[in-house]
Amino acid sequence: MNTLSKEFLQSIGIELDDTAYLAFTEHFDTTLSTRIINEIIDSLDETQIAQFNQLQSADSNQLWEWVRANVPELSDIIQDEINILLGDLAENSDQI
Amino acid sequence: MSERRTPSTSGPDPNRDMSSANTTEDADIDQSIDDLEDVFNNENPAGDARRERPGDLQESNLLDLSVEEQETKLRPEGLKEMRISIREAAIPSINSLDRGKDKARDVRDKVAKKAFMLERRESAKQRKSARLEAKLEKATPGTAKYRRLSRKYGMVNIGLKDIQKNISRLDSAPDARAKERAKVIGLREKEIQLRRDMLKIEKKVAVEKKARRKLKEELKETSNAEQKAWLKEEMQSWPSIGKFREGLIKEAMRKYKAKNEAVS
Repeated sequence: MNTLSKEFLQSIGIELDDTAYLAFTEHFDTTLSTRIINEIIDSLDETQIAQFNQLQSADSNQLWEWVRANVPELSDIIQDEINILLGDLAENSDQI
Repeated sequence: MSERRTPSTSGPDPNRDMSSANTTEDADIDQSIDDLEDVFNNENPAGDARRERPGDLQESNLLDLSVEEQETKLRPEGLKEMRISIREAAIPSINSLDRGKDKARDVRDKVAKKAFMLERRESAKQRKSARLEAKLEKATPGTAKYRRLSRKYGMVNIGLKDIQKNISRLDSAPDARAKERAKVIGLREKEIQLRRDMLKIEKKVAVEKKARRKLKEELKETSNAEQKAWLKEEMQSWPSIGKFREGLIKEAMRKYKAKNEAVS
């Protein structure tokens, strides 16, 4: 879904052609969502883990509802994870 | 150039000294040169002044030209052409300088943006660490002994403060009598005893705290770690995981943009 625009990447010194850009943003999106999910799971206690596991066949709205209700620090988790990942990106931009 | 003289229009001066033939001849030659100069100056009234302003022209270029060409260049239209050609010759240098400035600005902006992003990452890491620590602290069970000691410590502390308040009140009483003084002495003894009790409790609390810290470390390593790792893996195959991920990314970007707008 191309989270990062080409202009944004250029602004931190990352120049990519179209193919590399698509692959790069896809990788970024996957990494970001995985980190957020891992962080959400790490914040759960034993009871919550069992409850969350019951939602295997739930649709994404139900997942969202449960996470919003059970992870009070969700907003902080999302904000921190994107800042950490973008910081990693800025730090390694010369090598990309 | 020689000193300016009055232009002559009618040949040799009749009042000139004629006592020596040689002198007369030299004077005539001088006069002829002066006349020629005057003619030139009358035709090009701005000529002298222009030649005295080296900034206007490129002297070395002028020296390469013939006299006729120099005169042409010194005319207003010639000067205009020269200025145009100098400007055209300078354009690539000016453009190159501009490009250099743009590049420097670009590099500076990139460095500033990276520094800002790294700073944000550090804050985010600190918040994340504090959040996890708080969660762990909350999850670590306190031992019964620790709870009992904490309660006792609190009560002794309250008793001690109460005694100190009483001592202070009695000490400051202007008409403190012997009976009250005896009371103060008794309270001071009690205070000393309570302080000893507190020291003993503090030592025990320190031992308990150490035990709790150890427990917390163990909890950090083992708290549902296997279950969590399994769930993280398992979740990747859930049918709605793709949409859930998309929602998370959108939310993350929305938050990032909102924060950036707030900062700017």
